[in-house]
Amino acid sequence: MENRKYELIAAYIGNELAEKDRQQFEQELGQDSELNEMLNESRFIWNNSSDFEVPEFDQFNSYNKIENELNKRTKIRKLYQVARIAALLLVGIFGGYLINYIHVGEEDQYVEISVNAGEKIQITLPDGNKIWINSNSTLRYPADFSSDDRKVFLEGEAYFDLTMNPSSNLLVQSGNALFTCYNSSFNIKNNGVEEVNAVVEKGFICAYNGKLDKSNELIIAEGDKGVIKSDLLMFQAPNSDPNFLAWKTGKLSFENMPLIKVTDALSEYFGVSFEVYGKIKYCRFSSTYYDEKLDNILDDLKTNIKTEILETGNKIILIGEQC
Amino acid sequence: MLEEIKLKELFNKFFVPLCKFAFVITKDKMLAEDAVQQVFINLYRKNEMANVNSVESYLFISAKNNALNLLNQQNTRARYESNFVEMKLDEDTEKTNIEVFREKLTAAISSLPNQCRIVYQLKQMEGLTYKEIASYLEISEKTVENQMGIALKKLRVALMPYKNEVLNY
Repeated sequence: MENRKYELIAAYIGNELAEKDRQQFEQELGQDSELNEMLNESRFIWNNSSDFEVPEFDQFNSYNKIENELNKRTKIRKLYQVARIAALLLVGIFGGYLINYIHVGEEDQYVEISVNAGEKIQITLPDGNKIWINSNSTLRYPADFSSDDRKVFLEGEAYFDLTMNPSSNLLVQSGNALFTCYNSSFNIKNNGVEEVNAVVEKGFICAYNGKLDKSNELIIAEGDKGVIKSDLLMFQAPNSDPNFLAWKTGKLSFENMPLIKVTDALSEYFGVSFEVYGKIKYCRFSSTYYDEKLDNILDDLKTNIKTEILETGNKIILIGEQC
Repeated sequence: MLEEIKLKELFNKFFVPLCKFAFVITKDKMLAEDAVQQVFINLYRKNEMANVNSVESYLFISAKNNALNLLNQQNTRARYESNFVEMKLDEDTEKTNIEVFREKLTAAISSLPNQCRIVYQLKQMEGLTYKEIASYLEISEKTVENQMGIALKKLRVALMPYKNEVLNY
């Protein structure tokens, strides 16, 4: 077959033939002038293809980029550093008097905390309450927290524990959603997909859409999850996700849970994507983990469900037909 | 977690080979560098080394995956097609036969089916063995062999019309 001839030629030129095959090929060359011509032309093509231009790669710059990326851990920086202290000092001597004028101007300051991928951070607000901030999230609060302005801004996900200082209230804005709260603990998540959800663990919080309008408020009670969408839609229902706080507690619990729900939780927790194929999708799995490594959980899945696990660079694929 | 010294060591050793490798896939210097940077960032961040047998093939496989992802993201295909057209238009009667031949060959190589081209250029540029190519691209050695054969056949057919001028030269 012609294709096979080309394969042999390529392997011959590329030095990939085993000694025995090479000898045999050379013998054939001696007898087959057409093959000989094919080889010569192919070799000519091969030798001339090496002109392929490879650019100079920037090693120095690349390493800097990697280092920057790796050092870009949790960053706490002051935003709006407009605490310009404009000091005007006028010194003059008139008739033996010394006159000093000092003007100090100061504007609002915020503290912004950005948490990078793979990092989490817990902060204590000036009033004693605590906030846990998830990866890829940003929280902003007024530096002068004692004032009336007790509004914090959240992008991403955070858990608020306001039970440390029950008399202290807080206004949280995330996307379009506003929450007023005190003496409660809750998780707010805003994935930037025009939907903010809040799961209340203790107490209750009030949610508003766009503005603080008492006639249009949603009270989210303990154990419930409220969803606030940008199109003025708000609703609440009992929270059905046992792992909504896994990012903070490190605890993953699966109770008779279908495999596709398990992989959803793992995907969220470990930040890897999963694909599940075959009938195993609905196989049930039960287990509880504390700060467990993904590999160990996958091993457990393998033992409990007849699944084959393929790991590619950025995806984990589960395949199987039987539980 | 991987130590920084180890990372630097690996980086120095593999940066250029990985970039060349990724460049064959992306045909774009910046994309190739980005793909390789991401290899080392992931390596450090995720501590993925724990269950890797061979560092080398891990690095190359990871570079391949990143390169393909970046390509998907950027959907640069259109851009390469226009490059290809430019190359064709860039004919000049003043050129010697061998120069014309090489241009045709370059054009013919870039119009090979993608996997075929990548295999051919990896073997060509980096002098990798079939075994290495197969493991880095996560395909079988048999496929590498097939693709090499297909590449040679297609190139020879495409360059048939220019054969005589050049061989006489």
